[in-house]
Amino acid sequence: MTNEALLNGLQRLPSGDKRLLKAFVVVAVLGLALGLVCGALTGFRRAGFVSLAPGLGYKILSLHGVSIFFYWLYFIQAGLVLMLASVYANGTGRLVGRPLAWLALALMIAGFALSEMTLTMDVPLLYDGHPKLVTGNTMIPGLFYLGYVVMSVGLFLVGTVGILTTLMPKFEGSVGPWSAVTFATVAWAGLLIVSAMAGFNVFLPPMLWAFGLGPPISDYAMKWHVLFHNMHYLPLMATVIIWYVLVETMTGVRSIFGSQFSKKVFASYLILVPPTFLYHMFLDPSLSETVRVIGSLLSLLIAVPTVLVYLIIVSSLECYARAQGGKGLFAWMRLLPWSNPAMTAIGLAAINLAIGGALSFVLIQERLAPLLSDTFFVPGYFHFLTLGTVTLTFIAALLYVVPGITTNPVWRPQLLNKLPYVITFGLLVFGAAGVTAGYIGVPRRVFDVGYGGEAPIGWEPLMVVVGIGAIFMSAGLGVYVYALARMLLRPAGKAGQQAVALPVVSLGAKPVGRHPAWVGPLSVLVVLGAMAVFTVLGFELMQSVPLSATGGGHAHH
Amino acid sequence: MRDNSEIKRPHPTTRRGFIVLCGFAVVSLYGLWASYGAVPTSLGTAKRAMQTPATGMGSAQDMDSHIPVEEFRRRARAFVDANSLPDGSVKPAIADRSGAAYISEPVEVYVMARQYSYWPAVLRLGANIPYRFRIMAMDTDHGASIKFKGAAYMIRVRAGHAVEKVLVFKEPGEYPIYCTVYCGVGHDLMKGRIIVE
Repeated sequence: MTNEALLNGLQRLPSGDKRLLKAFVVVAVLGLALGLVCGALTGFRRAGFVSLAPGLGYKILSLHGVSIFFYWLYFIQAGLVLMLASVYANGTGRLVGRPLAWLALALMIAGFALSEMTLTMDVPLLYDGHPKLVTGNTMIPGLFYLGYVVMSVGLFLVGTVGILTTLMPKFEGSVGPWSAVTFATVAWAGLLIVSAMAGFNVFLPPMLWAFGLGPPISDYAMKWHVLFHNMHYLPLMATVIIWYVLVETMTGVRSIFGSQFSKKVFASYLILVPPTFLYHMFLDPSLSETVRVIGSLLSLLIAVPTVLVYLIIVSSLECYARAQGGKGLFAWMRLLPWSNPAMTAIGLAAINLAIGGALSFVLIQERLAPLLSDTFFVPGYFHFLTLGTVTLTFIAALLYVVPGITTNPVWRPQLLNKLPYVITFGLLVFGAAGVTAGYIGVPRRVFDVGYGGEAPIGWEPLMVVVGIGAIFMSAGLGVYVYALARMLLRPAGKAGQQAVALPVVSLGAKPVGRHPAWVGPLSVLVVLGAMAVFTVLGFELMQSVPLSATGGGHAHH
Repeated sequence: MRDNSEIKRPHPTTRRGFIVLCGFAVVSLYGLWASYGAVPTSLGTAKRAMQTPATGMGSAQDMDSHIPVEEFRRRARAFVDANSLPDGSVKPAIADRSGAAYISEPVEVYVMARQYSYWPAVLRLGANIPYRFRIMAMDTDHGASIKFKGAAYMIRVRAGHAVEKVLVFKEPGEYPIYCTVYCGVGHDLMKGRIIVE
């Protein structure tokens, strides 16, 4: 496989498959656009830049969560998993079961429409749809849950088509051993099916209850957090798979550790990630202290697969760059194609992952849950992951996929190359203020943190800084959405034309030799240090609280 | 293209074992957690660390977490009726009817969290006195974040389940309480106060 594999594979796809992938991407970008507008309004309202009535404000917050966390991320994953399955895994270069994939898309669009429309009506729910908030008329909330259920059916079918596309050529004997990318694609498609089943498990009972067909719901929190955890880590696994593919496409570099090692690392997601969902529930009074401690200990393993894939990619790049004459601790990075907007996007995505990951490890320590769990610390850190890591990476993939399926060129690549910096700057401002606000107790999901003039000093100014960060984040993302929409909606170029001409390098041409790879391990060390600093800060603040608390599963002295 | 398994004596930083070791490096945070006593450091202490809160003061799984909603409401009303002050705040008595101080048992405090207020909304407590808080969310889930000078301490309460915590406020002051779990359109308005004297 060379760095032409993705481009050639996309070009060879049958036009029917291209139309299907384009439809998934178009709806995904629509979800991203809606989520962006609602997210910007949420940030601006929180900062006091715009005025919205509380009811409308919470509707917009819900639309932001539903549009991004469910529909943008599921639609784009569906499109990308089907793309990888057909381009990389299939000897004939086509999807198996395309009509089923169209049905899946139709169901997911129906779910999208139901979720968005019902939220604009009289539904007092956030994106997690907690049924205890439903009062009075249950018909519209029932339709809201129906939206999620229908979307889950569609997602189940997408995963099935993805797996069929990879397995059928194997059964027919038309392909050899799976590459690491194919193996990872199968794992990804399988986990989409798991996510879909977790979705049924959470949303089917409240839907039946809301329609008067089932009993009231009493065990929502645990079921929700199983799905929620899956929804956290599936896009992150997808992110490192996309890095793996794009690095090969943009530099010709493949893993120096071999395909088998990569397969084992991708498989480790299935083992190390699922048991760690408990950390989302550390503040839940139904968990015993024993379960909480075990949850903390298991959560230490959560980052292992992602760190390993990161090291495989960065160390491979460094070795090949050094074989091509790259020097210095960091200077070898100059050999990478930084004028390619996809390279810049995944480069900054890696930095955002390091920051978000370092902060997230404060939350896996159960003793710190009463300090931080429901505070602005949470949105302060997770935007580094949802926007700064996952969304930037998926957009980087689209800069190859969209031209590949439409033959339209990338719109203003030099401008797009600056956007990751704009977004990352915004994230740093938003995150610094948000995390600080979290440490000092500013609650999340509250629009008026002034509390009628009774709020502690510092709360409102920090939210203004959060809003300033949101301006940069939404401006950068807005230009991306415009660029993608323009590339998708323009009439397709001539058939057979290859429109993508993003700059690439061929670092993989020379044998790797006996070169060192320091940057990957050093960056892990830096992240570890940052984790320690943020954790110590949490413990010290916790100890400064003039309160002794015991019981309810939490002890604090 | 070759991977490093075909290279004689690859650099130590490019060996699979080294990469795996780096991948598991985050587990070393355990040492930091242990230094703050947040995790067990041996099997014996593991058992003790895990048992202390539950056996010491009772946990969320103890029998009081299953107080029926109506019974909790009755107890909360009785608590407020017995301890209300003219300004509307509630100051739990720290002595029984015979005048003997509660020294062996924490003083009982009942709080109902409901859309969009705490009841009682203002509590007057004494410093360094243990109070056994029983808090129940009466309609949907709620939170209660007690804001101190630096950080805050948060409690989450599930609808219809009483959470029991023994709290000792170590310094006098006025501490606001905010709901930290979205509970409806009036969530922003849900606040209370603890005045420690």
